[in-house]
Amino acid sequence: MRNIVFTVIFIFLCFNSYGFQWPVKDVLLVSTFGESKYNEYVKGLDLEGSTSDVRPIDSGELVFYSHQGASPLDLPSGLGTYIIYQHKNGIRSLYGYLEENSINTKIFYVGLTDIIGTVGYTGTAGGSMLHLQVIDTEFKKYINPLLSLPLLTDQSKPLINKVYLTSSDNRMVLGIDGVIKSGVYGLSADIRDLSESAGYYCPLAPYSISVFMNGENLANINFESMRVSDGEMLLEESEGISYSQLYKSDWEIYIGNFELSPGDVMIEISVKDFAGNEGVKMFALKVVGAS
Amino acid sequence: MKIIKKTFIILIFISYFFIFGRQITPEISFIPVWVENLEFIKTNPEVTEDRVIDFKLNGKFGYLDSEGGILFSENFLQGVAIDKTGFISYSRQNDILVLRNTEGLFVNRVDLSGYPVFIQDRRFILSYDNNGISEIDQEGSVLWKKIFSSSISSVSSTDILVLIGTVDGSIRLIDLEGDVIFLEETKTSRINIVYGGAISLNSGNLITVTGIEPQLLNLWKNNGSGYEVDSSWTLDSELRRHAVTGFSEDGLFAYVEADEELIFIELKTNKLFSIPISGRLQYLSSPGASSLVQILGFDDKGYYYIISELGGDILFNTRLSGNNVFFRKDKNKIIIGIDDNLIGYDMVSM
Repeated sequence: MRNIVFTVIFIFLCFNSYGFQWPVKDVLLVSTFGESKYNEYVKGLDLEGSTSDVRPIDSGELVFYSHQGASPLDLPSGLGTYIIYQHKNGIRSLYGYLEENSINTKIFYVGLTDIIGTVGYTGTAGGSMLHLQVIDTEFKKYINPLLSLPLLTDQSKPLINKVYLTSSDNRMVLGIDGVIKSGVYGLSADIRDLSESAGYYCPLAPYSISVFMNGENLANINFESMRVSDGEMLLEESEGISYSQLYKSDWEIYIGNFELSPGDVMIEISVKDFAGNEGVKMFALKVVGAS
Repeated sequence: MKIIKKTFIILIFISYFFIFGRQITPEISFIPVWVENLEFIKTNPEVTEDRVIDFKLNGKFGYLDSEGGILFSENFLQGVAIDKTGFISYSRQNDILVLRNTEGLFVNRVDLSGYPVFIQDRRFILSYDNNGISEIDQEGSVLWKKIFSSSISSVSSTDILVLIGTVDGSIRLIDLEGDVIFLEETKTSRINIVYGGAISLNSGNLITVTGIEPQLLNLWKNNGSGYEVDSSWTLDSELRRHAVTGFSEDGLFAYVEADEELIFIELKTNKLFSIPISGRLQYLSSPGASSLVQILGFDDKGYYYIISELGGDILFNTRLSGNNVFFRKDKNKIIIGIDDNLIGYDMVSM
């Protein structure tokens, strides 16, 4: 009982460390942080809502806005019409894809109930939706907005579809069991977390991926924050993972290189979504000598 | 007595011109020389490339010569980046971009996603979320790519350097290899952010608009090893959007689109001139000293067109009807596009 209470409190604190509100009502996630889109990471969320009004995630100050098509001397932007607010502790929030001329640029200071714009179909929006980014300007990183927004109800587990082992001369789809030659293999997997409330097929990125080999945790990928290092946008890990390292295709995620030594090897891939639902896939392999 | 009276009247008459006399402002005449309706385009294969002027109007773009002959025209979807040697027409979402020449012929595919921006004969691709920029060469090959931890708010270029401002308040100069050769993280305001920035064609000066409380208009000078702020002004009315910035063609003035005014700075004396404008600047022709400034703007009443002296009177101010307007100055000729019509004028000052 004590463990359950502790877990509930922990999850509540994890997901409410900034205590922000959703910018639209009845949120439907369309894209999530770290997803692959146009050959780069999505640095925020794409949302749909039951109403078109957009409110700030926290009270704040308007620091930048751009009306799509306001002047040919402005830069074109895939964010369409967008607006940026400064909040406390160096946090900024960006709202993109807003309807042209819908943003209120006369009021510089906004509260939680103020309407700052209307969900739109500008920039690269695939429909009427909102793009939301949360940026920590002190540490110069993009934060997964799901870490700071109220928890969404979601009960479906992320899907782990095909899992691949790739060596220098071979690429195979991993079965539940099988025999494999020893050596170093790259492990990758087709992973999708389906948006639960969408009435259409809408895959999302996972929140975390872990790999265990014979019970030992060998790899963890967390979609929590991103920063730029050496000219590349990296998912923040100990060394950081670039887009080109992580994504072999839009949904095939490279997890890491692993050495398989002769003997029985149990590989467990655990994938969690933003609500803590876990999808697990296990493989029992017999690794034989290369000769 | 009569002689004294006559002399007195003549003296009053002469003194009037000395006291109240002033130079008569030149009268400007626009003489229409050609008109093209884009609904009924007839391309002219006789047009040669060294005379082409690019245009973009009402969902169409293309090339024409100074006599109005149209070499090429096509519709665009989301936008088009165009210069005198080629273009990239793009839709809302592109996995690849296609570079074409002035005749619309395929040059190369560009393996990048984003929106193209052509500045000073250089070609850049902005990533969709505005935090990355790449340069491609004339054949469409990627030369370099840069990613920042913040959205890009301004880009300005010479033939060897590109100035990039970002909303985290950073100003970077990037060379032809894509290396950052100058980085300044502004920390002079309560909130640090870059609203506009430009580099002069000879790379001797930068002009920037940065920050909230105060919002600073800074003129930078090249000191040999980098750039340092030479003069700084606090803007009275703080912008929260992109501020168009640049330098006049003769390199003697810098300009900034502030709130309700266009500010010019004479670089030699640091003297400021202001031309009142409303809404947003759409086009600016600023040749420099002793030349006329031409402004196309858009406000809540629609498009307007102003001709003004630098630091002097507004000589001409008119509203342009139409929902889509294009303007281009080419020496003493101007091309005005309104909806589907392009009209070429000879501009004569009398």
